[in-house]
Amino acid sequence: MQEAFEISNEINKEEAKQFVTMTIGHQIFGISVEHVVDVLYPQKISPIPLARKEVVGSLNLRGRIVTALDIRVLLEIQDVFELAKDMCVVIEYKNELFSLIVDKVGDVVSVHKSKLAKNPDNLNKLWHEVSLGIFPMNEDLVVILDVPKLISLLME
Amino acid sequence: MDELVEEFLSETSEGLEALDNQIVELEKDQDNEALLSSIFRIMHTIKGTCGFLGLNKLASVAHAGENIMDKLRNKQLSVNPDIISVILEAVDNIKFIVAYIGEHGVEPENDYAGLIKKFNAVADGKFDVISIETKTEKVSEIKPEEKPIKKEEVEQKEAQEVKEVVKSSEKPIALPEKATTTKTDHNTTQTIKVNVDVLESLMQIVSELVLNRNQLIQLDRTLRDNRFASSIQRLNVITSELQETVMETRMQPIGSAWVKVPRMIRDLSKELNKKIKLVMLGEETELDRQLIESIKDPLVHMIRNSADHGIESPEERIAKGKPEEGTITLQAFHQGGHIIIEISDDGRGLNLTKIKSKALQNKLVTEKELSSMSDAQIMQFIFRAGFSTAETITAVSGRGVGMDVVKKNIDDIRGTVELKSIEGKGSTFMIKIPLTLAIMPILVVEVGALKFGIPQVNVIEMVKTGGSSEYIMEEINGIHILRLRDILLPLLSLSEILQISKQDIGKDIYVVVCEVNGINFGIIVDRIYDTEEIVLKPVSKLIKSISVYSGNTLLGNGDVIMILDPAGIVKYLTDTHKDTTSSLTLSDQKHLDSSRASRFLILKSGQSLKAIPLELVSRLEEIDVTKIEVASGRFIVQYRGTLMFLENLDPDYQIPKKGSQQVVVFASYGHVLGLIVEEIVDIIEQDVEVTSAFEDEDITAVVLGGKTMDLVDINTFFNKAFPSEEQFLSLPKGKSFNLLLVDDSFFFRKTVSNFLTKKGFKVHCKKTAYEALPVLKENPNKFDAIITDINMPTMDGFEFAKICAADDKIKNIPIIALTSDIKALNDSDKIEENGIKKCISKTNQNELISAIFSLINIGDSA
Repeated sequence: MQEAFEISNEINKEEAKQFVTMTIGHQIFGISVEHVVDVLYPQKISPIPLARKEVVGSLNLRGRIVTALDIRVLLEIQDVFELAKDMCVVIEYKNELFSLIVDKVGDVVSVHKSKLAKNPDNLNKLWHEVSLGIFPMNEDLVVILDVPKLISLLME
Repeated sequence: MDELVEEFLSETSEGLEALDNQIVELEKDQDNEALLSSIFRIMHTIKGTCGFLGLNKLASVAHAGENIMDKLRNKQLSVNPDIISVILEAVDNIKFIVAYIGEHGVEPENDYAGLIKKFNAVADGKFDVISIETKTEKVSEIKPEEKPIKKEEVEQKEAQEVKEVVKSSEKPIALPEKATTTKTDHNTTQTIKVNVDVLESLMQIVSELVLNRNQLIQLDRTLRDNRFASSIQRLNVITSELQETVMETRMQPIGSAWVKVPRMIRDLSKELNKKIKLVMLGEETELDRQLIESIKDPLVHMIRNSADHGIESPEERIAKGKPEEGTITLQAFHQGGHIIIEISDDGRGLNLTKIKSKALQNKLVTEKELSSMSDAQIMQFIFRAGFSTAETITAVSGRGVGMDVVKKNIDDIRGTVELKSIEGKGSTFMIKIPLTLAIMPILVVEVGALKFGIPQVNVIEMVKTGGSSEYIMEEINGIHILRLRDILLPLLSLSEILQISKQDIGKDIYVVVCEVNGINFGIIVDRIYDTEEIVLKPVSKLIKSISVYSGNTLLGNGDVIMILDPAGIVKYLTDTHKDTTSSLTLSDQKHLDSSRASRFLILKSGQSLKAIPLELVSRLEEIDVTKIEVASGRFIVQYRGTLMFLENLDPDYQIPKKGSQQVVVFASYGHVLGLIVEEIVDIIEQDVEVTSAFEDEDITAVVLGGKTMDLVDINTFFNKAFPSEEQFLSLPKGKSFNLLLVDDSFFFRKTVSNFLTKKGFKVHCKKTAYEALPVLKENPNKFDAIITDINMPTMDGFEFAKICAADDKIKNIPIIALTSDIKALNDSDKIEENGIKKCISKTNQNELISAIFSLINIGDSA
């Protein structure tokens, strides 16, 4: 990760943004680093009965209470090929902390604005709403997630 | 804004609040020179400082006010209500200007010339005020140390007054006169101003520290490492001290929320043409400043309500035989980790009929529901939105916007409001709020392997049912009910509410008895842990809409748990099972009858078994035999702080030398008696409602579980232990007295009527009030007294008594109530209110007989 930061510093900050990559099932997603507070190993999560199905429970991050969200449910990923589900990406939105449970957390990548592709037209409606664009990274395609949009969908 | 101006504003507004009260005080105590000079001083300080700051309008208004005060002080004018009103007007204007500067940073545009002219005219005595001119005499009257200025020339006045302020600052009237006395520091306890935000964040940090400390302590307990023990112990103590000290910085006397009240009452009484006296008690009671802020407005509103709706006009009061002047009492005190604030008035009280019709009119309730509601429940309607019982809307109490907001504000700070009211005598609002918002105690419970917290403020008690417990859970039509002493407590299963795996509700369950807005109910949980002090954290917006949670927190071990909101849970009581609270139909009644089958405690006595109706038993105890003492041939034991006499059920039974002895405890009003029994065998529940032929017989034995057993007559033991004259009262021969006994319990009908029959009364028994009423109406003159149970199905004793009291033909028959509910025994208001002459414990037959003798006309021999 250290390397990634160094590389990014050479690029013009106006036009490049950094994203934390993460894997859920077969898909790689990217979240802008400005939203990411922390990346955690598995935590003890206390379930919250009656909460909506996307809410897995709450966990303790150094004295702050974080609401854990199952991003599979959130994005309607029907992926039977379940991986470890063992990393938590903690994001902050409107002074509240949320933890996205993902299978694997990858590198931080710098994405130049011009490299970001538009959402393909045949992407489903929900993904269309939460995706800022697609970034082709080596053999993979990274879906860049719009975090504020993602959380605000839940708040409705 | 200029820092100086800001400082000035905060000083001045404190001074102004004090000013209001002092002026009102002055109206009552016209010759109080200390008050006069103090008011003068405040005005003078304001004038002086704002002149310095270039606030000219404010200076001129303050100056005009000061002029009047100066004349009063020199006795050139004398205090009268008109002058007081003018001074108050000046103060109001000063307040307005100060507030305006606070908001806009500049003085308002208004022209104050006219007003100042008016003030000056008053100061010149052109206001029907007699001016006293004997100036020279005055000087000798005034004590020199209090009024040094009077000897001086006018030119030296300014300088002199600063000195005066310094001198008088040792006097009890402590006023914020800093603006002119910053150089004199000998009068102040050392204080500095701290930004409230700093205190808030300090509190937050300490809260986190407390949580961390708790975690450490828990770790220490599991690790048991001696090397850490003493350090952790010290950390524990220091953290607690720190927490207390930080809390203290946030504490303020509640009086600071009351400062506006005397002025308000004065204005209100003028406006409403009422005479109102205000009594304030416990102003020094300290409370978290954040809470004081939130309580201010609700308090003002409630006091306004009391003055407007509660207190009657002087004419009305005189007509009712009350003192012309109404009293509103404001009282604050600590009680068990809470602050209680009471607002009571001796006015007309709440009009239940009006509330009922209003509730019906607003479709808040149906008539059927209303008929089964208690008075207390009906009164709760006033806290609903848009509910005002005032016939005419006055400017004072607004348009029925209010009590709902009041309740909400108090709910928000986790407080409760209780309401007591007697029509014609007045009402009392009791606000109960936690000492501080920052830390709250919760009870940790577990259900389906998940832990939850229940705020301790809502918890009344915890009960374990089944097993060796005296409490048993029952089921009616699929819902669960706990018979807790004399009440039927509705139960809610937490796992059902939270839709966790279906809880298998066996006989052995844990119940947390909670209270919310006067409604009691039990929450069934799997396990009860400890209480823990926690910092309530707001829940995520994603979870906010779930009404059963009020927040979440971190426990000592670092786990996150959800805090339940009993106010949200109680809704499940009415949402899903509406019928538990509404009246029962006739078909239900039968069901209920059988569910109320009598329970018996089965005791072993020698070779035989004996039975005691469980209703009579207070408790079952095991007493250490070494604690049993013998005094004048009788057994005595120390029991719950008093001496309890022990009687032996079987005279041949010997108390063992070692171990413990089973004792059945009976409590009758005023007396506690323990019955020594060889063994408590069982509790049998059986419906012993039998044929009428049997009912006429004198029963001393019952068939239970296929065995015949003797019934223990507790009264013989009571009479033996506490001999009294009542046993020897008897009726004159040749006269017959008829008593009507209403009790749903077969055993009481039987035992009470047997006892009374032996005394020579003719006793007529009825099972329910509904059966008793027609008999009474047909033969109103037949009965000399009515004896009724209080706790009965379909219609309770209070209601029965009320109906009797409302019937002209029946109302003269004295009513005696019987109960085993201690609470009912002590609720003398309710007893009296419903026309019940006496309320007696069910087991106390002596008192019953003496009550009958005292209430009915026995004749000469009595």
